[in-house]
Amino acid sequence: MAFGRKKDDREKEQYLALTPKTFLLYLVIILFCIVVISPLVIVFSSSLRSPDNQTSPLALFIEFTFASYKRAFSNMNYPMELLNSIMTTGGSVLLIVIFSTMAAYPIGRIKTKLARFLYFFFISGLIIPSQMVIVPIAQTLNRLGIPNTRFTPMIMFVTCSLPFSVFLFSGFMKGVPVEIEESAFIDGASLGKRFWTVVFPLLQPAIISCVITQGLWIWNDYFYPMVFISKKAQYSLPVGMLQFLGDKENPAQWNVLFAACVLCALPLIIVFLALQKQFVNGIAAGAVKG
Amino acid sequence: MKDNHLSSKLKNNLFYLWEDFKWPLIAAAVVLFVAVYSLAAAFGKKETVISVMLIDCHADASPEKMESDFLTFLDCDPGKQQAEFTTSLLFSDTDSGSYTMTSLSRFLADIGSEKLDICGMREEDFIKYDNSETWMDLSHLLSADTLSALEASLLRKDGRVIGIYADALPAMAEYGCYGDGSDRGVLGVIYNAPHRSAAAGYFDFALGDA
Repeated sequence: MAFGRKKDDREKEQYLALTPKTFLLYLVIILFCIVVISPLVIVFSSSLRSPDNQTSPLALFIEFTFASYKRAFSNMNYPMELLNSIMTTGGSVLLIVIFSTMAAYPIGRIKTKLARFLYFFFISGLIIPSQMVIVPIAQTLNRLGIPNTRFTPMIMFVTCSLPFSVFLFSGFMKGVPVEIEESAFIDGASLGKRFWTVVFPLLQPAIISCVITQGLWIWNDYFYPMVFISKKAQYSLPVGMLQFLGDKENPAQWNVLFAACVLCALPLIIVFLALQKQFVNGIAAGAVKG
Repeated sequence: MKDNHLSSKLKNNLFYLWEDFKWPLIAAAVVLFVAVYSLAAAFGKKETVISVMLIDCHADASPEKMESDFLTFLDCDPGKQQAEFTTSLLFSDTDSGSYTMTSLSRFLADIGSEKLDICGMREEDFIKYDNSETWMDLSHLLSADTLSALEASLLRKDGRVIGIYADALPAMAEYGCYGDGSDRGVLGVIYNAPHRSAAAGYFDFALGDA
């Protein structure tokens, strides 16, 4: 026991010893942290200034007022835009997960030429930038009589996410042991039941990765809402935020814009804090299993 | 007794159905909701009398005010009809490349889906986008009286009248559009405009014939 403790202490000392190599490593890590954190600190500090305060943003926390937040909140119609963002992001992410796991299941399990073709068919979607096809898509939606509502961008979000999500899930599906499914089959489980009760829960790490990556993209995207939505009441948070960006005639209201950025990111931060354990566990499990 | 047994069996079945298929059921509910919402929006949709897009205009007035003024001019019922005004797009007057790209995509998507009637933009951009004859020849659309009233403010190219300078239209000045004195703003009608008579009416409105 005493020997063990000595060994631990020795390991600790070795670990904490400041050799030139570790000093260099710490220096790089600290610099990296400064590079990553400083824009966030500047944004937060500027958002706490009054809208007309034009002092350099590098002078941190020189004023504490919520005037910029108040203006951003009222000009953006925040509650409505937040609701639109939640509905669009939540609905899209749910549909992406369901559709792409269902598509990836046969692709990952069946070893035929057709399955391989379907896999490459989905993957080919990754190489086509969606901005290139926006005009024919808008034409098609118009000819189909699909009106421009707050949910129209969801069609684009789901379709544009499918290639990546199917790629992610079909790769992960290969790691799910087929023996578990076989034992469920012997117990009399149907195909649907095997998928939803056996395979789907085992995909949790990949589902979490998909939810984080695609959810973040959809939450922050303003391209599709701007193309498909005309009415202010249907705007999502990023589109509402753009009004503070300014132009050559009306310069950007930086402090209000930064306050709007914080308001836009706040729901995501709350969700991440609430589900931090699940996210980290999921990603860690994915790192081992995937 | 038998009824109790049946109801507990139904309850169990529903419980197992929910336990096994809750995710596809939720997804189906979302799809159904979006489909019903879209159908309701399609059937309850107001008739669009005109669609106007003013790019790089820096308007002081809101799109709602522009819509209300034009509907009043046309004597339309705002409960059943609508006029779409988009004023937030920027081609030249922003340093954000992605915003310009998004504005351009919206402009092209609206033309492609045959929604857009009138579009205004800076003179340089306006001429640039006529390379594929995007603008209709206004001499076929506007009355001789209107054309003669605007004679000095018409933008011509290859013998066609493709646009009208915004500074000749009092309504544009009233809304604070294209009034910064740099490159002049020009308004034109898209070649595949779906509401041509309303587009002609818009120029009468903008000239102050109301």
